[in-house]
Amino acid sequence: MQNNISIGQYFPGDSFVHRLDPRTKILFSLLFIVCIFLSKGFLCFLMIAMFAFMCMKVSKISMKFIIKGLKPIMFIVLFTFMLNLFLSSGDDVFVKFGVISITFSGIRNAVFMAIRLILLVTCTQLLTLTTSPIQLTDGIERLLSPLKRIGFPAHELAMMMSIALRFIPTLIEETEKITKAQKARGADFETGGVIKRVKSMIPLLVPLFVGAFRRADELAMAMEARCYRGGSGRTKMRPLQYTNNDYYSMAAGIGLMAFVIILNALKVF
Amino acid sequence: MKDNIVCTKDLSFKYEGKEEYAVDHVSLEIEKGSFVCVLGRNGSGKSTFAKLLNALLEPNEGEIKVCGISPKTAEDAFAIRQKCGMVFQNPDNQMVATIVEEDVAFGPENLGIAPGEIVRRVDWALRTVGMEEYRKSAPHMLSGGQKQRVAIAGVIAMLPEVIVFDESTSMLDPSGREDVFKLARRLNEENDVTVIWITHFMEEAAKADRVIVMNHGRIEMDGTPGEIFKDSDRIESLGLEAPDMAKLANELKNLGLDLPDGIITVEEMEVELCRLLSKT
Amino acid sequence: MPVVVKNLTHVYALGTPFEKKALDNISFTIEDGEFVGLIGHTGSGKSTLIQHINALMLPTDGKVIVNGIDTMEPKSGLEIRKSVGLVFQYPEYQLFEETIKKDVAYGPRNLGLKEDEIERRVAHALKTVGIDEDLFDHSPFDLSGGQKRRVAIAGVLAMQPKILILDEPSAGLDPQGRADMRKLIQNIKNEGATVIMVSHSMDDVSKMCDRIIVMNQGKIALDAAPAEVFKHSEFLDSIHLGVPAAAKLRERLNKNGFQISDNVYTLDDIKAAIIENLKRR
Repeated sequence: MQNNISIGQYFPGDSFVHRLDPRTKILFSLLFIVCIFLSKGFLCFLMIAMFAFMCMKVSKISMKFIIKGLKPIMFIVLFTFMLNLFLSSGDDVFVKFGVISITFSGIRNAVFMAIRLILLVTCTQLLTLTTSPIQLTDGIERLLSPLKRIGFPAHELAMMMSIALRFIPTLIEETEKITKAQKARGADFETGGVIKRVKSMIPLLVPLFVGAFRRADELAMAMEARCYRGGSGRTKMRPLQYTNNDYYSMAAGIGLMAFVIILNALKVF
Repeated sequence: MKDNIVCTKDLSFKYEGKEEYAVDHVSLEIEKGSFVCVLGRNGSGKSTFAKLLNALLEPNEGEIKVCGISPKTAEDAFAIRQKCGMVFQNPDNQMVATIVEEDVAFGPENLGIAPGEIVRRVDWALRTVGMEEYRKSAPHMLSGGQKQRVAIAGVIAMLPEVIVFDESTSMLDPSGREDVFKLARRLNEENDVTVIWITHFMEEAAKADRVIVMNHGRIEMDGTPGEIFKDSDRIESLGLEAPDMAKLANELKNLGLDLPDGIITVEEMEVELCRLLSKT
Repeated sequence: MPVVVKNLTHVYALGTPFEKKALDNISFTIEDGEFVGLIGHTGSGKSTLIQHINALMLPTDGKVIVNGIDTMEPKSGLEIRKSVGLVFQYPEYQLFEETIKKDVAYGPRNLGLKEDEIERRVAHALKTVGIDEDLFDHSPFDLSGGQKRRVAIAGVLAMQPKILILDEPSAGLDPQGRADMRKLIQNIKNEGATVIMVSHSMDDVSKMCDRIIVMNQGKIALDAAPAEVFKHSEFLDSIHLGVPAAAKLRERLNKNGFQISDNVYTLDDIKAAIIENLKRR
């Protein structure tokens, strides 16, 4: 019952990075991603990795969390690695087993792709570890708000995200409850073939959906009763505000990108 | 002339596709600053009445005025909801945000209040309901009673004149129920908030200033708790149950004991019986 | 078919920082045909306890033996659930079938019974909870809240459990609904089942049960007949449970010169005692 379902993987703290405006962190992460894709060589990666490592140190997030976050994607990394290792063509053969040959460029590609993936995940992790879900949705809403003029529902999107985050733990709890209730009625969710198992989920899914709709109805009514009428005319308890630190950080991000571009242009890999 | 905060005249509402009125020509006045309890079996129209008060539903017939405003337009409805807050039954389904303080800020944010003022109000509201130490908590980590207190904080942060509680204690355990009821009573006494308290619990009704019993969308009884519960047979015929002490008082009276009308609590019963004992 | 709980301990999230002892070395036996009220405030461990009797949860330490079967025995789950029915709080939220009949049949079907036996049990269960036969083919989602709950209870009754556990069966109902629920549970009891009712309403428990187990902080605080339990009103107050109004009145009157027996806790009894006291003078 007292399960501790953590939403996202936010790691609360009060570091320089934590205090940055979420918009800065989102834009910074985007810059990071662009840099990673622009990079054509290991030197760029080294720069980016050093930068990421610095962010990690400043935000006082331990390496453990990053590595934990990387575990679920290790399979994909490995898969990409193998794919590149065996399927790269080239003349610079390193070893050869029958039809399969491993080339030097293959090895290089494989390592390159693996590092690229790991860096990508690490940098998005830095964002989610240092930014609470509510700040994230706030940031996304503000960043997308210029698009409101062309009819893009930025506020609604952010509201939906935050309600979804709010109700995930509730729905997980409800799933647990219904599972137990149906088990008490002799349900068996564990044995049998695929079809039987899918069928056995119906007594679970129907009440869940019915319940979710009921909740949605009640929540809509409660929101209306609290004077909610969309995003227009709304204020924020803690409006987002850029500080000097945000500008410095953005400058650093742009510097990094410039560096990567210059290295690429000079063909220094 | 007393100051009435709610005024209805022949107020009626019918749900779409239904023959019967859910609220059937109800005319009543509720005095400013009072604590009014509405009783009635399931389907008696209590909740529909509550939603009419908050302009969540539009009346088919008749008039309603809340805080001097009749909900003719969407703007009126918005104005009424500012002054007439509502706390619902299910504590889980009325919290919007992932953090307690953000949820309390939701109403004031909708009103377009300046950020500094919102922070002040949220601080005050959380302190008033005794939840300030949970301000950074996630809603799902709270107990039912705590969630309801946060919901109340969210309502009082809008500085309403009236709060409607629609069976807000029915899903809580006894200690949560007591906390929430006492909080409502305190808001009524100390902050001069008019409370309209809808419930199935007779012990709560016994502590109200005035009790209204609804049946089939109409007002069946209206009076002080003592007046209402002295007729326990009538109460039972309306699908309700008089509090134990009111029942006992009636039965003792039937057996010839000289007890006054209006006994509903253990304390009152004790006083009267001790009086009888010393007399004999 | 007794329920034997022996030194039962249950710890949530064992070995993590969130470790929490929900049940702490609990022992008791419930004999056939008993009507036991299990009472305690939220977090006292009562929900955890009933799930052990149904083998939905397994002990961290100690034993739960239902009808001679240890819940720790592999594959004992279904066998135990055949004889122990568990109605959760707000059971109406577990309904899922197109028709009332099909929904009630879900349990019996899981037991692998024959069609005609299922049919018979469904009809009987729905009759017990007072659902009209012309409603059998309606959708359960069209019913009122109180009716939905009764259909959900029928869904468990149709498995014909020897032991029925109900978790807060009258939560959220109106007074009429609560009274109907009391009658329904009394009927089930009269058909010979052992009933364990979880509640935080002392009033409900005092009106129905012949034994009350009071839980507090994962331990059994009191386990006795109602009259005995209500003698500890100060203790019950201290753990936010309170006593029925009649017991409270009895105590107050006795401090003021009345002489009413400690065993009195119902309205009828206290009425008689008051009359007698007043006459004696």
